[in-house]
Amino acid sequence: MRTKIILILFISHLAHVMATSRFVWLHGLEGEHGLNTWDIYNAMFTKNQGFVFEYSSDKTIGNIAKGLYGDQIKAIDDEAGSLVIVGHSMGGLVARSLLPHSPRIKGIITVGTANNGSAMLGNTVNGTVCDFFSNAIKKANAAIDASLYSGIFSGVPVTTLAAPLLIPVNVFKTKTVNTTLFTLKQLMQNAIGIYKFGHPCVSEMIPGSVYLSNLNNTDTNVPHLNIYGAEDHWQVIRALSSLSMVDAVKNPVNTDRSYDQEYFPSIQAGLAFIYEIQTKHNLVYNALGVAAVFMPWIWITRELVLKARFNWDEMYRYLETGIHTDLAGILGAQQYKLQNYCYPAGIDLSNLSCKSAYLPIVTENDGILSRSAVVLPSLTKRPVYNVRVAGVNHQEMGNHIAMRKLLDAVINQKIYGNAFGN
Amino acid sequence: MKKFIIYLCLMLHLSCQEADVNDVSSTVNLPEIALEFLIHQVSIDQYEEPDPVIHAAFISNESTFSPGAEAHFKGRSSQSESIDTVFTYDEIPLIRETRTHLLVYSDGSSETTMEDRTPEGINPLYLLTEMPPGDEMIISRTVIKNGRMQVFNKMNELVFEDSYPENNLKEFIDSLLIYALAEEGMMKVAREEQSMPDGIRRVRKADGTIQLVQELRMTAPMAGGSISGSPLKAIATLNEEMTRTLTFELYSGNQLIHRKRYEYESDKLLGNYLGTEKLSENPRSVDAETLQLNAQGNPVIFRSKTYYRANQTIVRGK
Repeated sequence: MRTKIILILFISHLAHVMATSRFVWLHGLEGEHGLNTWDIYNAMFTKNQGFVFEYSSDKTIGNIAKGLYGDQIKAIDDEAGSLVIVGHSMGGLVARSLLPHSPRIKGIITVGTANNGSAMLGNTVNGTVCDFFSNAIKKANAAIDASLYSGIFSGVPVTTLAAPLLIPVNVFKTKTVNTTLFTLKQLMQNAIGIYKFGHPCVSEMIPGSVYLSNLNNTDTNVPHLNIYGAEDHWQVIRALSSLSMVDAVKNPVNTDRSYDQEYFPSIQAGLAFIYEIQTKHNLVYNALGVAAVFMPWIWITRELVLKARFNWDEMYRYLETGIHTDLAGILGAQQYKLQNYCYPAGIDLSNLSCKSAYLPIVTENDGILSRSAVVLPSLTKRPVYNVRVAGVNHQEMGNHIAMRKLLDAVINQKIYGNAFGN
Repeated sequence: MKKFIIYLCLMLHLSCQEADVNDVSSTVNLPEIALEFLIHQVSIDQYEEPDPVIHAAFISNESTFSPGAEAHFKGRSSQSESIDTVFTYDEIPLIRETRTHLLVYSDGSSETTMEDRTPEGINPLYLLTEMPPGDEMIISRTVIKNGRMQVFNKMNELVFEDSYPENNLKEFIDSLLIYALAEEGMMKVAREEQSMPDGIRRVRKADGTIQLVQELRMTAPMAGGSISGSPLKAIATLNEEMTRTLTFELYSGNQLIHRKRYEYESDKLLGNYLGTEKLSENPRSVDAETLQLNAQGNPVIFRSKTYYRANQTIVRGK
C-alpha cells in the first residue's frame, strides 16, 4: 500500500513536471512598439502557460537577455518546471543568449532569425544599400519624359497623332509611379531606418561579428528548432506589403489573411499599363508613317516615338525581374550557379542558341533574410532542426497559417517529442 | 381544334414579339469600326558589354563617359575562354512574344486586347530564381474597354481590375484620315518639293538614299537618354522614294547614343491600309541599340530586337 502511494505520488509529480513547460515569446528588433508579434500564437497554443515578454532594443543582445531574465523570466522560472523560449528575428538571438541564465530552458525555437548575420543589415550599416525603388522611379520618369517629349514638340499634326500616348503614360505615372513605387520606397526606407538607430545589438547582427561567432560555436544540449521562411516570387515586395500593415498582421482578429498581396497586384497592374503604353507607341508610330509621306520631317519624330518605346521595354524588364533581383542581392540571397540557358537569335523561337554560364540565382529568402543567413548546422551536442515554411515572409511569421500549423504540430502534437512541446 | 387555334395564335403572337425585338435591336446604332490595329511581335532585349568591333560606331573622341570608362569597351573577345559569368540579370536576353488587337470605333471609343504568347520555358529570366513565379502570377491577357482594365493570369483568372480612363481617338482618326485619303500626286509633291522646317536638312546621298538631319532642341536626358547634356542631332536615312526608314541615328554632340536598323519584307501583314489599299509599309524587324551608363557609371549597350509577325493598321471609311 505504501509502495502504491509513493508510486502514485511519483507519477503525479512526473506528470506535473511534464505539464508545466512555460513558453516565453519574444519579439524582434524594435518589436516592442505596437501589437506584439506573438499575441496570436500565445493565445492559441500556450494561453495558460505562455508569456509574451517585451524588451527595449537599445542594448547589446547579451544585455537584453540578461535584463529580460532578471526582470521578467526569472519570476516564472519555476524549479519544478521548464521553459521553451520562442524568438522572432532578433528575438531568436535573444532566446539563444538566455541559455546561460537558466538550466531549465529545455528548448529554443527561433523564427526568421539571422543566426549567421543579416547581409541587408551589413549593407545598410556600410552604406552600400541602393535605393532600388528610386532607381525604378527614375527609369519611369525618363520613359515618361521621352514619350511625352517625342510626341508633342513637333506641333500639328504630330500632336494629334501622338495624342494616344498621353492617357496611358499619365495613368502609369499616377497609379504606379506616384502611388505604388513611391509607397514601396517609403516602406523600404522605414524598414532600413530601424537599422540606423545605432543600437549596439545592430552591429552584433552583421555577418562575421564576434557575438555571432561565439554564439554559434557554443555547444549545448538544448535542442533548437530553427524555422525560416521561403517566400514566393517577388519576396521583398511581399515582405514590404506585410510591413505596410504590420499592426494588422499582428492583430489576433486578423488570422488567415494574406497581407503579402497588398502591392503585388499593383505591380502586375503596372506591367499591364506598360503593355498598353507600348501598344500606343506602336499605333502612333504607324500613324506617323502615313503622315510622314506628306510631311517628310515627321520621319524623325516617328523615330523618336519608337525610341521612347524602348524606354518602356527597359522599364517592363526592370519592373518584372530586375528590381526584385537587385533587392534580393542586398539581402545576400544570390548565388552563382552554372546553368545552361537558351535564347532565340531571331523570330523563329524554336531556333535556339544555348550557352552555359554562371548565373546569379536568387535563392530562397523571406524578404529580409536569405536562407543562408538563417540555417544553422547541428553541433556535437546541440541538435538543430532547420524547418522551412513555404510562402511565409519575415513580417507575417506571427500570423501565417503555415506557421500556425507548424507550431500546433510542434507544441501540441509533439512532432519532436517533448523537446518543444507542452 | 379550339386548342390548336389558341396555340397557333399564341405562337404567332410570340413570333411577332420576337420580330419586334429583332426590329428594336436592328435599329440600335452600334458604332462602326473606324480603325483596326494588329501587332504581333517577338522582342529580344538585353544589355551588352560594349564591343570595340561590334559597337565601333559608339566610340568617339568626345569625353562623354566617366574617366576611364573607355576601358570598358574591351569586348568579350579579350576575355578568356573559360566559362562565362553573368554578373547581372541584365545580360540575360529577355524574350517576349505579344499580340495586341485594338479596335477603334467611329465615335472614338476603343477596345484593346493584349495577349502574352511567350512560349513556356523560353524566357531565361525564370532561370534566375529558386522561386519562379507560378501561373497565377504571370500576366497572360489584358483587356481595356468601356473604361475598365482587366488583367488575367495564365489560369485565366482575373487578377486585377480597375477603372481606366477612356482614350477617345476620334480626333486621332480624323487626322489620320486626312493623310490616308490624300492623292498619290500630293504625296509626290510633298516628297520632292516641300521645304523642310527650320533645323531640318534633306541630303541626297550617292546611293540614292535620302538623309534627313535635324538638330533637336532637347538634350539626351529629355529624350530618355542618360549620357550627357549636349544637344541632340537626329539622322534618319530613307529610301529614295521616302516611303520607309532604313536607319536612324541619334547623336549627343558627336557621340552616337542610339541607332536603329530596319529590315523589310513584302507581307500583307506588315502594312498600313486604307481599306484594302496599302498606304505604307512597316518593317519586318527593328534592331535598336542605345548607349547608356549603368549605376557604376560604365557604358553599356541596351539592345532591343523586335520582329513583327504582324504589324497592320487598317483605316476604314472613305
